[in-house]
Amino acid sequence: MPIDFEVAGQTDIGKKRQINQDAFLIDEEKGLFIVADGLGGHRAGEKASFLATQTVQTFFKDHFEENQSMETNKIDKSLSPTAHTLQHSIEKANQLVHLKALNFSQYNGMGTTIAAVCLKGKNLISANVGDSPVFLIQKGKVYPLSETHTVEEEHSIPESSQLNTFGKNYWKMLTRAIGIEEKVKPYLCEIPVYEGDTFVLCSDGLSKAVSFEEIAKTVKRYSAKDACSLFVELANTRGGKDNITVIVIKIKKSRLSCLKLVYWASKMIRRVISHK
Amino acid sequence: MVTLTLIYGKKQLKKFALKKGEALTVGRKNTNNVTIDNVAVSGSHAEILYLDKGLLVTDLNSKNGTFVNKKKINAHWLQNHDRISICKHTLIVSNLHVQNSAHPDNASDSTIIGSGLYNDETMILDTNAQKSLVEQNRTKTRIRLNKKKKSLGVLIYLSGGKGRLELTNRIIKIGKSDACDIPVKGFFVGKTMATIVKRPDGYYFSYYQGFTKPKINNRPITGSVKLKAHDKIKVGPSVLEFYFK
Repeated sequence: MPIDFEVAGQTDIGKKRQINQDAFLIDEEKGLFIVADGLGGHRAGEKASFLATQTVQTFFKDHFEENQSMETNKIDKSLSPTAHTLQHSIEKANQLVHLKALNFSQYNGMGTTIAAVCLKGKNLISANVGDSPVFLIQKGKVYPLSETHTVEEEHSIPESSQLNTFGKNYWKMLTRAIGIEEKVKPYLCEIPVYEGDTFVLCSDGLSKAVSFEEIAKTVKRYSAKDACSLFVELANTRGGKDNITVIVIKIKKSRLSCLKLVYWASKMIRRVISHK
Repeated sequence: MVTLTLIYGKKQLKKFALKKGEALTVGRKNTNNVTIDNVAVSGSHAEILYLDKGLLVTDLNSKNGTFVNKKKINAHWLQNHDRISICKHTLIVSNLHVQNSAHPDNASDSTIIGSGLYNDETMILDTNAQKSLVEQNRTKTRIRLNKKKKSLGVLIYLSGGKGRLELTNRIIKIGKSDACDIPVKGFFVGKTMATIVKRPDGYYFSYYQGFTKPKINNRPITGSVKLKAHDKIKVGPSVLEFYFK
């Protein structure tokens, strides 16, 4: 049985940047959702993010039905074929962005982060490179489904270390990105999906501006579309230092089951009795 | 800086100042910014959020509802001089269009005008306190992401099997299908009964399919649970213990 879901996405330039280097993509038919955050410090970040999302989508579509193994450096045999397709798509996108950056002087050194999520059957596959996070919100709690590939998260160097002299900016630097090197290894995570789960993909423009509790609260109270616009509004109100992009995927609850009917009926009866 | 004035009947009780990007919660519980000690008010009744676009009030599924200018609302963008009614109390919006730059020292305006019926302690709204709360939330986010357990999880059979299994794979499948890492027999057991997934913040045990539900520490599982050291997992006739290497 396919999962019933509600999805919305929004991107905003923010308040400080001249150009929106984020890109997002929603493919409801294949259940593919991508957020990419072009690297601002380099040239043509907006081209890199756009190219990466498009490549992943095209490649993923072409190989969606093929379930045979591909000649990738498989991360793990236990992952489903769809997960491998997604991994391969991201690797292909990396190759393409890298080649373009090498061959055209105006694109030299361009790169992007990527966070992609794919819904297939009862499962969800999340893949990411860089610091654009994917969150799962389940029963009011936020769980990360992505690894943050920054110096700060990956290296636990003691405070007295020499590296601290590089300053705070150094800690925020990415250790992995699409298009910088010839090969990239995305982080993959595959989990079963339950009714009522919500998934949030965003660029760091949002994840740095709001807390976990605010994310959980907002997706619980509003529809996917309203939640997106509220997230953008919230990040902008707190300075809007970076581009803001967000996709919210809400897994719908199935129709009333027998048990629920009995529960509601008993609640109503109790209410009537207490009124008397 | 927006000012909200709390009124009961004709009596002005207190003024609250709200900065951009901050939220003000209203309810009976004393964890709220605006505490109204009245049984008709829900524990967490409503929230007011100040954004660039304006002031948004959201009803938090309260029992008796939130009203703006006598109309019941779920979520509503407020105008200047709007009256938010929560049971017998009213909050009046003012200074909505006044910019911070014009009156930089407005923060000191939020003084108590009439303490009246209510205890001061339950109605504290200090913009500084709220600011530190926002900061606290932010650091929380970072701490949670930092707390990654890199240690390897291991499952060991307590009964119904022998040996141990190191959880090196991303997904460990449990069920009666041949592809499963942990085979379980039984008529009502699903092909894939449950999975153990390695996520960035630890190992999660998730029920997948089948009539028989797996149990962790004797509690049946129908969703996802984060595994802790020494959790006892019962799948069919086998019992396994989880720990970190």
